[in-house]
Amino acid sequence: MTENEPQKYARSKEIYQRIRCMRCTHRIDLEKDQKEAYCPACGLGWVITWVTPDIPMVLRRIMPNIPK
Amino acid sequence: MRQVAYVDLTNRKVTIKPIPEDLLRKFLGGRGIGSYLLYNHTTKGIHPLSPENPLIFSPGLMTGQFANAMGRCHVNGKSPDTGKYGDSNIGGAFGAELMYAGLQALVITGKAAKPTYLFIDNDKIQLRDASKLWGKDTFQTQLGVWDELQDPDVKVACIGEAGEHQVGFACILHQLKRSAGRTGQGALMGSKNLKAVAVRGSQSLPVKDPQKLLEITRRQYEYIRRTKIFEITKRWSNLFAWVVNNEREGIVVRNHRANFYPEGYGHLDVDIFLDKYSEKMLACQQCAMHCEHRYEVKEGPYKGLKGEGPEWIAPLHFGALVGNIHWDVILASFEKTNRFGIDASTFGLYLAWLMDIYDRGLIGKEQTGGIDFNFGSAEAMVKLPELINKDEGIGKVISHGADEAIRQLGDKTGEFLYRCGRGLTQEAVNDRILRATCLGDQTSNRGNDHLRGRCNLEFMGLPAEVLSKIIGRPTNPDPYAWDTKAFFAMWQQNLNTMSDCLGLCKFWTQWFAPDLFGFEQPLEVINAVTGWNMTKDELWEASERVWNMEKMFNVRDGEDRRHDTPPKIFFEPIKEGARKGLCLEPDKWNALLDEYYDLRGWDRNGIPKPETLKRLKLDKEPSHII
Ligand code: SF4
Ligand SMILES: [Zn+2]
Repeated sequence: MTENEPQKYARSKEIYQRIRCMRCTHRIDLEKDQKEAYCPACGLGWVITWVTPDIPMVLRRIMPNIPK
Repeated sequence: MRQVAYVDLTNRKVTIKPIPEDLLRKFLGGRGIGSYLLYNHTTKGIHPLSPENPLIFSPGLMTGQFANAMGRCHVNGKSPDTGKYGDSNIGGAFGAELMYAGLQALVITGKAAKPTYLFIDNDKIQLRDASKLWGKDTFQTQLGVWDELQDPDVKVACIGEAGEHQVGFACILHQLKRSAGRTGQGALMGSKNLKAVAVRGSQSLPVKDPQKLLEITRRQYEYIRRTKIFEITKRWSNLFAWVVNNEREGIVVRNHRANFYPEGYGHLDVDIFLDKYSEKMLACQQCAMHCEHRYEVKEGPYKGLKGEGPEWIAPLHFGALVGNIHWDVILASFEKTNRFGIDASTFGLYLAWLMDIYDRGLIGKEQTGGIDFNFGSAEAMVKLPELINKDEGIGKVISHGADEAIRQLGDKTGEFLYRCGRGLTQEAVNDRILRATCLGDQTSNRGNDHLRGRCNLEFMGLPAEVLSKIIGRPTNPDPYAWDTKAFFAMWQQNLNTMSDCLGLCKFWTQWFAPDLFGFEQPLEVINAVTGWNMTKDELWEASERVWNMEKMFNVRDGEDRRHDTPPKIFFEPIKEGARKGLCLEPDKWNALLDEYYDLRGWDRNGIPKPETLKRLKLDKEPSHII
């Protein structure tokens, strides 16, 4: 499978230490093991877990008053 | 040569015929040959539970080959749930085993005089007595068949009691959770007194260029295993879709009371499931991604419970949709639906409806048999599968068609049961906010359907040039924009049709992530296996043909534009949250539908034009070639 442009894009920019803001889809760069991050575009904060040492995933948003 | 077996249960007759290669090239396998056979072996207006309605199993064209994620099997039959075109796709190892037994398709008609199961042992097909299996759940049934045949390697697809009772949303189950879920194929199987199909196959599959196939498979595997989505899926399964859709406020909470479920925070987070319940990961045949959890509940009231799954639909349809925040209750209820052979997805939708109308005071404990049906009630979640399974009480009320349920519970309750134009219960996704996705889902031939028309790439924020390159035309990446979305939806539907025809899992395709398989990679596999030198255009056209074949089935029964209408609530503005005010605007929706029909070569009533049928070589259908 040769890499065409979409695949190159996904590899170069998405695979390491980066999440997508789930609300506005802005990409957010992370430091290794970072546990929280705020979106520079919409301001929403995200709780992060690491699937592998290089692949972060959003667990949920940061929400001070979680409804019961 | 590939073969189709016809089993007439009424007359206990088995006929095996070869499938001409040019027919396979036109319709491929799986969903393609399945929809051809369904159209050709039914007539207008046939009753879904009549003996004449065939139940068709058809592995994909590449199922069982030494190729990545080519392991799936399709099931076709007019839907007992909707009375329209019906089908479902099943993973595991059943499809490959049918191929190893020499069968590209199995068409079952008639009705057995007493409970029966089929045993396909390579080229021998036996009808065997299933009296001892009748009344057993799907797990016991598979064990029972293994025991009787003294062979635990036999692959079994079967129904539970729900199928025996012809519950409208009964599924056909294989292993612990691989199921042909939506559209009620389990009810069709039950109506034939057919408890199970067991297969043992040991034939090899011919390959035109084995060296080339080996090289392609290795190269594609080496590529895919380095993708981010592969790493995520093999650890999380598709549970990430639960997070993504919740966070983008694209789910349905408590039967459309909200679209975002923070109440689940600290309870339904994926890491809690992984830490507390997931034991290991399992795979379908031919798949290295192994996306399925084996779980165990180690404490609490459900201690000792083991099962497989759950996919994202579990925290969605058994969590947010019904107002529950407990993983163990989800697993307990989910396991029961699998064990009893009830489609988990549809189950959650009916449960949410009952909870909603209970909450509104439209039904009470007299109707529920004393069971608490408040949102989040664990009692309702674990007891309702049992009542459906036994066809008793409130379980019976909801099991024989939505219209019948509404008739029994009162017209007013019908306002809160959300169904698409084809009458299928609406999945718990808030499709009104995504244009291509809504169009793709709502125009799906079996009813609203994320597995046919959901455009996941629509809400990934991909740069326009990247998305356009994938779709093959300029495409607007803004999920709320209306332009360019008709072709996007059609592209997605064709890609997914191709997957279902080949036996390819969609988790390996651009349905799932932008850097996975498009049309080109499966095409390489087809050509190495068959030597057809098929082009991408031909593969695209075959997918289009299959989509139109399914459409013709519905059109023959009187379907038109009305059936492409989403549930009414999608035209109402969202009341709160980040997407507040968004909805489908009727004029824009209608213009989008017109554009889609034009692209498909259909008239403004949604009917394929004669020239379209001619172009796709469907103008002579039914052709009765096999
Ligand atoms: S990705 Fe999952 S569902 Fe798909 S073939 Fe692999 S194990 Fe089966
Ligand atoms: Zn943002």
